Amino acid sequence: MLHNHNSDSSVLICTPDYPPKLGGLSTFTLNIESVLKDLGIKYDLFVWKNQSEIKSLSEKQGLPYKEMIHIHGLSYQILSRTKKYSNDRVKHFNFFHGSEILFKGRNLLFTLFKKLMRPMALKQFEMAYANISISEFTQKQLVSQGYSIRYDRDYILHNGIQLDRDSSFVPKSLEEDTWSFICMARDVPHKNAEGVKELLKICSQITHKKIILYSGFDLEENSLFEHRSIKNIDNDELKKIYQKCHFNLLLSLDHSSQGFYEGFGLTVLEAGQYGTPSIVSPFGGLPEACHDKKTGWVLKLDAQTMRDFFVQLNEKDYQAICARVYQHTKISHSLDIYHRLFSHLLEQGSKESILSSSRNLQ
Amino acid sequence: MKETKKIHCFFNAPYLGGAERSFINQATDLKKISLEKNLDYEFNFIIPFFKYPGEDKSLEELILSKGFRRQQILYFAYHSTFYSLGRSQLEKGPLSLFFLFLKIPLLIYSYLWSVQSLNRLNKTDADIWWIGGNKIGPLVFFLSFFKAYKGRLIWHFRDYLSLKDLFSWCWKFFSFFSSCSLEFIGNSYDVSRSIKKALPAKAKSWTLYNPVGEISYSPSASQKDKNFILSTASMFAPWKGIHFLVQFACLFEKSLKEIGISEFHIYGDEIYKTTGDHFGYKDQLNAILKKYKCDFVKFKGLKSPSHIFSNSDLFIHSSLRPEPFGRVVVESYRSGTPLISTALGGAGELIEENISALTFLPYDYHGLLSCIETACSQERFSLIQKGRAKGDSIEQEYYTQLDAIFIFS
Repeated sequence: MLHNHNSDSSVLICTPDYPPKLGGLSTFTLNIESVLKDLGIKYDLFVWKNQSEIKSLSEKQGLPYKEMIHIHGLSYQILSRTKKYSNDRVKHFNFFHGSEILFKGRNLLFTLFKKLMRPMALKQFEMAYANISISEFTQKQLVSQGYSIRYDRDYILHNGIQLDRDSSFVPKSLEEDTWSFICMARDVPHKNAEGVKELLKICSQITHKKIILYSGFDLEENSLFEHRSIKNIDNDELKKIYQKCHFNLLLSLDHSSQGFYEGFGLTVLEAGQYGTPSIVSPFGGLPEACHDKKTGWVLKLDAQTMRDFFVQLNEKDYQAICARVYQHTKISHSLDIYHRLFSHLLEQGSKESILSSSRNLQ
Repeated sequence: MKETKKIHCFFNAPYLGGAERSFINQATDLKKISLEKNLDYEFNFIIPFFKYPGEDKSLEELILSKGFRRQQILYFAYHSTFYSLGRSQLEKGPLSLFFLFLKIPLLIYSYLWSVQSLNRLNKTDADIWWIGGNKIGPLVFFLSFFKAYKGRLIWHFRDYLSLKDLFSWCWKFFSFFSSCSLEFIGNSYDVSRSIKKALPAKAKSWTLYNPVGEISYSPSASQKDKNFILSTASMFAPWKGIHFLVQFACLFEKSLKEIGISEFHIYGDEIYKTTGDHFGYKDQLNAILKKYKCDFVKFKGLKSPSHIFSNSDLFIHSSLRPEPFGRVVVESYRSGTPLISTALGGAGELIEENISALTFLPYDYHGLLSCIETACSQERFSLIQKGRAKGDSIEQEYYTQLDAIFIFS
């Protein structure tokens, strides 16, 4: 439903997720808002729940947006087909994250429908002004489905985060008696709780350290490690846990065939900004977020590889990686790249706007 | 009495490309070494053609300019149907494979026709058959077991092996029937390792770096208010990362100018006008500049390495996937131009990170900016010196490899 939109705004951000709803797309939307505010660009925010809400936007009077930023491609697909917001009249920017580009549905029928519509959907994306993939893996997924790349339209911009202003390097040591791990992931199959358990079991056996895992998984008590649930944790608490943990874990599986894969892995950055390195699986965009033996470790998910990792892990290498992940996250994963992109490509970006204004359109 | 060896060099293409240039230079260097060691090595250069013998004069001219005789150059007709069967076709998917399946009789005919054309040269009497690439390889391979060739068959790879399973099957099939000594060369240790995985254990493997040729050492002086010229050079193909650099230059133009970069020069062109990934790439690069209204980037076309490096203060090597070798890395070192590279694959083994060159991760815009900042600072003197030392050691390694493959074995 439309509320109090700003008649000056020529930019519209369209998103399906926004706080208080949690998740990657919510965070991403906040990041884009933050960038536009910093640039002084006037925008409106449209949070949609379903296709009819998106369609209703185009039927409303007024709202002469010249530029639209789509956090999820569905709003682009519907709005760009309307006369009012066609590609001739509006610059559409699309962000591709991960699973949403797999054209999978809730059930078999829906999936079949999406697959049938896929060629048309891809052709439509090819008419957008800019398509930004958060990883090379995601872009390749699109190409594998028939999308034709044009390098003047298609970008790979690795995710950035709003770096904690207070974030500083928090030193840890493997010489401590207790090793802490964090795995900030939903308890769903592709996030691979079993893989995390297996890794920690092997860690305990090899290192004989006391192991603590902070996670959102539903795990039974066991003798090998202590589990502390971080479901519904607030941001300040989460920040402290990231700071004190020795490792961040993201051992997601590639469930592309079921419609799920890790597009990038934001928690790698959330941990990295405090100098906490990550251990990730070699699937999806994870090896692009975590650079093997440079800013973390990319491990095959077999027991022998995990054993070898813990046997070879030493304090010197660990400290070097902690230092590098901190530097790399700070330098390369801020929101600056989005500042640059939008300041160049949005009409208002080149102007010195003092005030930014935003209204929720719901 | 001098030891005599006959070497047939089978060229992969009728045109003078980077691989052919390397091949000729390696043969020339081998000739030079053999003379120094009082050995008598005779070379024949066997070159395919599509339309007529010697259709690319520059290839023949380069061979002659190195002191070889015209009688050492032999041509044979290569049927274009089989030649045009490319890796990209085989990788495209079920529909493409289906259409390819329909062409099988024609492919078999063109293959056997080309083998017969090669056979008519009647040049099988050599100690070494040195295969210059994967287009000529299947023909020579077939000829080797058809003729029961008993010498050394050396297949030289200048790229990673794709279609590993297909190649492995073919190699195993022929090696079962072949009576000659099968060996392969990779143009970096990384390439050699990747090929070894596809081959039977008995196949011998070597590494031979690409020679770089003469390039004069001419480091630019660093002056306080100097405006640096940033450069890159490669064929225009997406995996070389030129689009990433163009986007980078457009997004970071102001920051680069603040560091002291006055222009960004891009050397190279669309060399292979194919319908693969490269198609339309150059136009897209120009479209990026138009989108950003950027005149900071200049396309300079095809120029010699000497010209490129004598007009560059800083060089970026931006390949987005493992590079089999990375000749520009060594050219940078030898010319005294500080290098920034993604250092993937074979190129990575030529680089000592943060010593001979600076490195950045693929798609890491800020990482690249940070490297450029460092390379424009006082650090550039150290990079130039250490780069030069590394270039010398790579050259030394190359001659050691040449000796090991052709002189001592």
